[in-house]
Amino acid sequence: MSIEEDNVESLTRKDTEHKLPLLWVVLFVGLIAWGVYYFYAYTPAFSGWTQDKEIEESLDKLNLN
Amino acid sequence: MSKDNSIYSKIIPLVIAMTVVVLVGTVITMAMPLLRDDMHPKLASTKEYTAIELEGRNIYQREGCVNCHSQMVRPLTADVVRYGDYTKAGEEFYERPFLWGSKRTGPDLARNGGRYSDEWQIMHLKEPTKFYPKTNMPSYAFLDRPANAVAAEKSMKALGYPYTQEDIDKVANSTELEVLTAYLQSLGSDIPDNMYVKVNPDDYDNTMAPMSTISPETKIAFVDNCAGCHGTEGEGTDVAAPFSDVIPDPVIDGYLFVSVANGIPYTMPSHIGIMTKRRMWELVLYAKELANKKRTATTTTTATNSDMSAVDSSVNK
Amino acid sequence: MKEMSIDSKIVMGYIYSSLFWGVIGLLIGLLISIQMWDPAFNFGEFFTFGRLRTVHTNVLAYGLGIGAEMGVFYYIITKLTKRTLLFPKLAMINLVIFNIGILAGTITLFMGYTQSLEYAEFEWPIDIGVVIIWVLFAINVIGTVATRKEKHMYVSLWYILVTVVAVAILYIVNNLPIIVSLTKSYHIFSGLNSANVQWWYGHNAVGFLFTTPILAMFYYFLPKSTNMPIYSHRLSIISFWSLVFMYLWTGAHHLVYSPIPDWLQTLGIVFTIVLIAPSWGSVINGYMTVQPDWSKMNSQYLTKFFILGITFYGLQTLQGPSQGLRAISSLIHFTDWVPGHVHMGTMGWVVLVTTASMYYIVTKIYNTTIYSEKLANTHFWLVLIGQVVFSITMWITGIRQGAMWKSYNDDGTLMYTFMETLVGNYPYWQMRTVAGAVFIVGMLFFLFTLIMTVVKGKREQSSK
Repeated sequence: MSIEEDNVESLTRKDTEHKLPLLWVVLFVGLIAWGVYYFYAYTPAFSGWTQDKEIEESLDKLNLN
Repeated sequence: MSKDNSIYSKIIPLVIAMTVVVLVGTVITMAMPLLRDDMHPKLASTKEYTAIELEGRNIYQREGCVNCHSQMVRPLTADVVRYGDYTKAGEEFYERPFLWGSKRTGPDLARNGGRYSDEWQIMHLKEPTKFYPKTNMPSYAFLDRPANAVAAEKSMKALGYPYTQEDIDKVANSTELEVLTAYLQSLGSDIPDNMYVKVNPDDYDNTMAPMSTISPETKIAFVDNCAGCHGTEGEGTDVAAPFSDVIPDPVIDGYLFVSVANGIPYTMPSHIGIMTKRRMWELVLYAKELANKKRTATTTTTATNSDMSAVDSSVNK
Repeated sequence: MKEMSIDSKIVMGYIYSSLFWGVIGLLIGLLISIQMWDPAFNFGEFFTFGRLRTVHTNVLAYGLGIGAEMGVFYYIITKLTKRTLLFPKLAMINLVIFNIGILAGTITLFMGYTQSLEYAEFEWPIDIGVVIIWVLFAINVIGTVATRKEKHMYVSLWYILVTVVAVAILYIVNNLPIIVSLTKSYHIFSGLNSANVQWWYGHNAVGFLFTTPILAMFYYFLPKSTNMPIYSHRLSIISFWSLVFMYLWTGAHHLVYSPIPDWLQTLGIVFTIVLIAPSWGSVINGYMTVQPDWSKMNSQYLTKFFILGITFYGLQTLQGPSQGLRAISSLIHFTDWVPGHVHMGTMGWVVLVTTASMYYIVTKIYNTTIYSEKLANTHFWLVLIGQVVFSITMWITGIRQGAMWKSYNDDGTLMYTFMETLVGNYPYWQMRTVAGAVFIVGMLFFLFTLIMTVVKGKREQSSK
């Protein structure tokens, strides 16, 4: 078996160790903002939207009977 | 790298931190709902399974039916038109485990109860290709063997459902096919009259009835959708009598139309969601034509009124 | 010839076991793919689709997946802690229990003993076995890491530790039974809670069996095999904590348009979408690591496995969240789209990274080089092509059938009967079977190359 030992320090770059890509940070913040909006829009207690209301309305439009 | 005294060099704080982080979402979305009333409502009509139904459900689980058949009609128009009223939270009270499934290789079964006859269910389980030549459903002929009444009783006891010795005997005297059929016939029955889309028997639109042309597509539709039970010439099969016997002469076309559209409980499935009204009217004409052909070919008695009951029952609804 | 260390024997034992179960699981997968378009390939009671589908998923998830992960983890841990395993004998015993457990589980699934909960089908006695296997594994992992000789814990170790913790919580809770007999139990939760607990489990089983463990491998073997250090430590940290925090909230995206309360569905969808960011944190970290020298893709044969692997992970973590959205779920839920998605993750991401890790491990353990890079490349291309064609055919049938289910005639009736929507899938399903066969041939190339590398290493050592 190989006796080579890992130098844990060498597994990560030094020059960019604490760097976060800007676009990625923007993506993250943007997704969180969208998440807040979506949670507001699709939670009955906030927006009044409900799944049941949605289906009942679309069934009313159905002209099959 | 990070400093030597950071959390990444101390295993116990690190594992505790991980556990806490994992538990936040767990508590809020999994554990907390366990205590909420909106997670276990019950309809007044929702009752415990009977022994034969529960043993049927055991077989449904054992055979992995859930791998191909969903049991959840989504609150979406297309789902409701095809399968019936969408699944209500209150119907799920006794579902252990839930059997909604995740893939519809076969159709949804949440509203299957009462759509077909017991005989049809059993024959279809034994030989699905008999009714749908191109289906990919396997044959379950091997279920034609005595059901396990001991297992049924143990299951009822474990769940604390009420039962009598008579209920257990019923399982003992049935085959697995019959037991499974009892379960399939119980599905969706908590909401009576759960077929959402229906033709009103009183004001069916009779204006299309005098059509005289039957398109070739309708004849293909007949072979695909009707011939499995009625025979390619309407001559009847093990599950349905010949047209010449069940269609009276003369007959009010509207009666037949209502039967085709809404179906006849425990006898014939509905077709209103899945074909145009015009197609159904043409099928009515075609069925009449086939019945008359048979009658003129044979000199035996023509219309028998005794079989009118099947048609009548749908009109009374 | 130098005697192999017990740690190496343990690692190889898990690798061989996982490959054995992998072959079984793949062959069953091939059979059920044929059953999808020809029911004549269902044979009697034990070989019907309904039972075999469960055998397929469990043998691959637990036999191949967990087996490979345990072996590879033991290897990574001994390297990163700079010591031998704390309890090597226990790991050996665990290997035996593991194989007995998977064998027993497989047999009982063939017999139809199932809890009908996806990825938690094993009945309760097998569950107890799984818990024992996992606890023994956890003792060794945590014990070895706790007594490590390298103070700092590298990111791969965090991913391994969180896998150990999360899987234990998930598996135990969702498998709580009401016991009927030795072969039968019912879910202790009923109705909506049964569904909600199951998909909290089901989605996170994917998260902590197919995401975090593979990321542990990725973060270790990418820098090791390319000699290029990981781009950003901070990006690893933030991705790690946000990923493991958010994953647990997302189960309800499997229950969109179900009777589950609206707020719970919405919460699941929101966290699923935001999860794109931490997932892509690892993707970007992977790309940026190789960024200084992309020629490694060509010159170092393992690099492409890891980069293509992380690419499929990236695609997977875009496609998956999109499926959670109500509008998309309404079209593709219950269709082939979803198994197509799962297979891109497993056949693309998991298999590419795991097999590359195994190549690396075997060459290190036997102190040799790969038997044939050409064969390894053939393995790569066959597996890649098989997977891509497989997934694409499934997405086509998914959209096709989903759209047909909701096509209306002018008079408001539906255009197609269920049977009409089904039979059009058959040609695509036949193509899928061919693609699956190509994938399996690729895996056989892998198996051959791996074993020949071991043979080569042994021969070189004995001639020294």
